[in-house]
Amino acid sequence: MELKFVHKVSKGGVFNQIYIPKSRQGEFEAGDTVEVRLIGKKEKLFTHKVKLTNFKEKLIKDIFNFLGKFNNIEQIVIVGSFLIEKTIYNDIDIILLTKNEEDEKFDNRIHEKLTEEFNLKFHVISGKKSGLIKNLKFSPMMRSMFSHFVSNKKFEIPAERIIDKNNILLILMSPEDLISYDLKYSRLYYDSLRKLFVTEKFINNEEEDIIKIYEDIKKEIGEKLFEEIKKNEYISKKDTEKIRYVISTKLKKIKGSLNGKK
Amino acid sequence: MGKNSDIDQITTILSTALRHKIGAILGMDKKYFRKYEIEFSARRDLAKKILKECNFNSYDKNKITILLKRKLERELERRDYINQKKFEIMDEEIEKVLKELELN
Repeated sequence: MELKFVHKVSKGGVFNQIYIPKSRQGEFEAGDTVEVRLIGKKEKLFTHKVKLTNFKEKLIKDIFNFLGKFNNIEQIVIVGSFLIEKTIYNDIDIILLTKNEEDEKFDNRIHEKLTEEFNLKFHVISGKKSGLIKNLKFSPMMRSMFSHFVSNKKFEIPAERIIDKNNILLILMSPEDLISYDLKYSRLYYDSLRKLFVTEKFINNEEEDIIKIYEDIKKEIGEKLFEEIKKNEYISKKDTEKIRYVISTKLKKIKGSLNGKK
Repeated sequence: MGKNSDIDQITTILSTALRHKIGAILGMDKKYFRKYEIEFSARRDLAKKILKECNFNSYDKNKITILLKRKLERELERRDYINQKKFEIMDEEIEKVLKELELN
């Protein structure tokens, strides 16, 4: 009969150690020779500016474990409202770093599998790590997305920011439209304010921390109005004008800074 | 509102919606914007709402296609920061949205 037991390695004062369970002491005696084999690596989470509750930590570990079955996934990063909101989050945003560039079908397949397994709402984006790193240098919005994250491996946001004027002007297109035309769809104001505040930080070479950015927006328009536009609720003409004023002031400032850059 | 005015309003809204969509498709953040396509969908939904009150015949639909193309072309020309491929994908995107709104 093979004598074996499964146990976790524990941290010792000098060396890590494995204890013989009390009930097996008669079988494994001092002086006996044993073989130690690794059968499961400890799940380690790499967090960036995130404090997880036990529930969220367990769920993320389960998600990482589940996605570990897919060979072409090299690294998993979770971003977005799930990490920063206590209860009101839209879905769980998952970025998959893959060995090869995958298409939308791959994202949809993983999305389906995750939904089946966890019965939760997910949003999946995949891409090669090199492409993501490049994106993070150029894209203010991606940087804000990655301002808080949890990963199964170490991940670093590149410090370098490259200002691509065309890309910035493309981001500014939405807020610019809102100055002249009211669609009576307040969530558009929320998105535009977010874009403007994030872009301003990016141009000024400042951290695009989305939590701080939300606080800055609240300071400008007030917490109540911020929550209303976030939920796409009806807002008065007076409030619309208030937001438009903030948008046009920010636009002017950003365009001024942008023209000052080469 | 008269039919011509409705056509004018719908094509203006849709040309802006498509300008945003094309910008997103060709932009650096296309993966990010796949999720945040709100600028396009909010406008498309507004056009849908207006369309409920309209009764367009095939002549009107043809007029919408021509006018939408003209307006979108102008919108894209004015924004040289959007990648030049915009003119290559323009027709395909017009066709998609018109099909979705049963205007083709």
